[in-house]
Amino acid sequence: MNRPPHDTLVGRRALLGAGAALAATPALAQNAAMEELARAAARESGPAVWYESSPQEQTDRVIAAFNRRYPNVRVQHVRLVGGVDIAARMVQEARTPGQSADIASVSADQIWNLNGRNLLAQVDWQRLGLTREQAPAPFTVNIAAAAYVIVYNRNLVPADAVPRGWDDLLDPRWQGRTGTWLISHPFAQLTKAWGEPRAVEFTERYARLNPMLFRSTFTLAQQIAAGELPIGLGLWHATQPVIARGAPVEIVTLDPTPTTSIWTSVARLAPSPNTARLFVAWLATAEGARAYEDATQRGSALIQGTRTAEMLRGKTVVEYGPEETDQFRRWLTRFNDVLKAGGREAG
Amino acid sequence: MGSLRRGLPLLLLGLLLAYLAVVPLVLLTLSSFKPEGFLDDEGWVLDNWRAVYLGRDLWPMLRNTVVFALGSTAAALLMGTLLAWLVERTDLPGRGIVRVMIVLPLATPPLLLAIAWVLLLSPRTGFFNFALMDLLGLQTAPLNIFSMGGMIFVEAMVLLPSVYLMLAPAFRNMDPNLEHAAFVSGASVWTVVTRIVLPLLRPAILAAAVFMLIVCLVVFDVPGAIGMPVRVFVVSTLIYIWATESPTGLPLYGQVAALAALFVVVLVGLGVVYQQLSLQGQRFATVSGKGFRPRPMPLGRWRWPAAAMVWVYFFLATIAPLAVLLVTSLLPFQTRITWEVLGGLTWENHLAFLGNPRLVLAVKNTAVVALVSATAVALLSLLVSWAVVRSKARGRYVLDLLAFLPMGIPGVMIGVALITVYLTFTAIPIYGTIWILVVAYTTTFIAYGTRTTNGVMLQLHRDLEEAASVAGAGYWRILRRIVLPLALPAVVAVWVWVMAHAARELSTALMLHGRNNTVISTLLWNFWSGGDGPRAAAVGVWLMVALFLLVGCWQLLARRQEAR
Repeated sequence: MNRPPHDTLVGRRALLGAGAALAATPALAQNAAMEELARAAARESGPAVWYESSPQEQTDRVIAAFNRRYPNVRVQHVRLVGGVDIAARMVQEARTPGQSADIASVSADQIWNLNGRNLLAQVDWQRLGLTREQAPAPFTVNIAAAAYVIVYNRNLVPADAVPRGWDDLLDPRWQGRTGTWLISHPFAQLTKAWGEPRAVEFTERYARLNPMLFRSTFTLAQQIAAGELPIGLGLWHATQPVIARGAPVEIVTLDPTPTTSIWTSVARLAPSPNTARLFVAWLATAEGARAYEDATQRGSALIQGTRTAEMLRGKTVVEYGPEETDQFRRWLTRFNDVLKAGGREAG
Repeated sequence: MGSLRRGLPLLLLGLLLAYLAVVPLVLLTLSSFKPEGFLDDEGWVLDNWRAVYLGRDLWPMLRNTVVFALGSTAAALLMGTLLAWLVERTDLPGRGIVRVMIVLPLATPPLLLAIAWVLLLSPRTGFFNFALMDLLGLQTAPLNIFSMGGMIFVEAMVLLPSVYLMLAPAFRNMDPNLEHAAFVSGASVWTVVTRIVLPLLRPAILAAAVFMLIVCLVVFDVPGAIGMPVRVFVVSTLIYIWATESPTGLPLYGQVAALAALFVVVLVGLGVVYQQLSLQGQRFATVSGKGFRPRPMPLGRWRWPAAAMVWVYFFLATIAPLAVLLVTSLLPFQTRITWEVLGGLTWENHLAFLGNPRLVLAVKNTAVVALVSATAVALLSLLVSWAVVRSKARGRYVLDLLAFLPMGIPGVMIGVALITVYLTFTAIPIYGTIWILVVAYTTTFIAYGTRTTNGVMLQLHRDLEEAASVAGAGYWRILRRIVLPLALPAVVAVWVWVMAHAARELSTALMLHGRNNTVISTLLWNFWSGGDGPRAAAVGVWLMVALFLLVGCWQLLARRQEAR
């Protein structure tokens, strides 16, 4: 059965009403649109299924905060391994209407792929109160960002060697004693701030330090906490668990700061489209962003008051957006090779 | 009509195996010719094959893979065969407890075992390295787990219990009269082992070797945790990157599928070699109508040195990694183990696991998945081996190959195939449920099951079944009253092996994770990937406790059986 486009799902009369209110007082109209959406969502039979890669213990807290605001609307989180896995599952599920997840949270390149395959709903997010920065395209919303930082073990890094910025990461004393993620996301993002020659040179010099390469920045943080490595380039949120448990780990923020944003979209074939839209719109509110950040340690740089926005204040944030995916892929492929080869090739 | 009735069970078995093995294989092949590897992609291309086989990544990694696979297989086979012989055929002291201890590491997810060895042998925080530096007055760590040698060592430890379980039933079924006759004729222990024991066990040893080689081609946990950080890449690293971290934003299933073709070709080649060498099955038959009672071979003055060697092995393979995991599970965060940190042990990680709201559901799901998969694989293996070894039907070796084929298909592609199949055939509503895991594990583990039961079936002489047949017994009666009791140790070994592997298996469980099929290993992953290594270790410890009880009960029953 073909489903109607989402904007007809709430009811034409309700939208017309919300539109009229919007013309009068925008905030009121947005609230009215959200309330109407919540009523429509509460009438949907199943929960909206949300594919996201955070541990369920974390997303339980996000959903609990959502349900405090909207008690009659159900969201079920299903944890898949990562963005690539989520994107693949969305592609596969599209062959069987009714089996699709409702919401997917992935990175820019994955969301671009899904939209290219016509798998995402086109939603007027501004009508629900989101800014153009949060929702630059109708198919997706930027709900949070993971920021790259220097991570070091204070018991192993002498006071005179405490890093302050990017160049300190290239100190020869870290030869064979540093580590990073196997995938070169932060280095590829740097091309946007530094341009090609400097970013390539930096990545090659870092790779020549023979860094250990980890499958996950969580593992990297654990190895730094354990003392296997004194220093590394990791993600802020992946370091928080070991810090919270008392490990002697410190963080240095960087300028420019590469980030990987979490783009969240509603599936075109979502079985519970109103719930899905309500949840995504709520994640982009101050309340939703704080709940998501408290649970996953990844916050929105676009909403004032989050720790992430505070951390990134005054810094140049660099990241390729969904529409720049082709360019980003080329850098990623090239820099992955540089890291894997220990700096011997630059492609 | 009669021949149809006789051939019907074989046909049904063939259809079932074809469904399990051929469907993923066909989807895999189709996927390799699709632009992005999804069946719904438009058009057909050769790009994936070109990218894999003309690309610069594969061949250097293949060299590493061959070294890793051969090294790990040789080490596991050598130690596994020696241990199986010592435990099953000699008067080694404490054989009961040794049996339990050998298979105990089966409960440890390989990822956790790799982490344990990193904690023991890493150059900067490894417990053993610090102990050796203190003991020998060294300035630098003498051992480095982050190396090809480290990968081989840990993978051999992972594989060894499986080798033991594959070989132990074959050793147990050998008629001791052959060895006694040799001793009476003045042969030495060496002569008996090399001229009688090993040749008689050739099918079982060969089966184990082939199985382990293929496992090493596709396994990722150990190369990922130990080799990848220091750029010792193997082919499974490529599969991991293509499937989960591809720079395109979507998994490169087409390339994974094209690469898997290489595994399938290697596997079919090894399978054919194995079949050729096992064709003269009667040469290996040692269990006949003549009754025998297993009598352990006296080791004489080697008894205690052999026991010491076995206990050193236990210490390295079981006690040390388990102890380090146990201590890690009691730490607030993963760190180098020193006397100081032992002062801050906490039960918090165990309490967090035991208080997890999804625990009850996960335990129930794990138990059902493990029990059903283990029973299905054990029964199917028995039937397939019986048909392959006993039947004279022309297609019987195809059955064997079908049971073996899924091993060459990377787990990620079996997952993709099953998702596609059950999203397409919605009349079988198992997508997102525990039953899709049962199908996946039955498909994946049937290869192990049939390798084990084939080896034992070749040892059973036809005369027992022929006598029963002459006396008027039908197929099912012969199977129930003669074949099953004689092959029971192997069938139970398969059952225990599959139980343990299904309970700890992670990559397929994650690949097929849906709305209603959380299992213990996905809980473990939740902790691990959320930065809680010690809590993941706590899950591992409880998994081990559960399997220890299972293996303990199995051994208790086995001893009662022997005593009768």
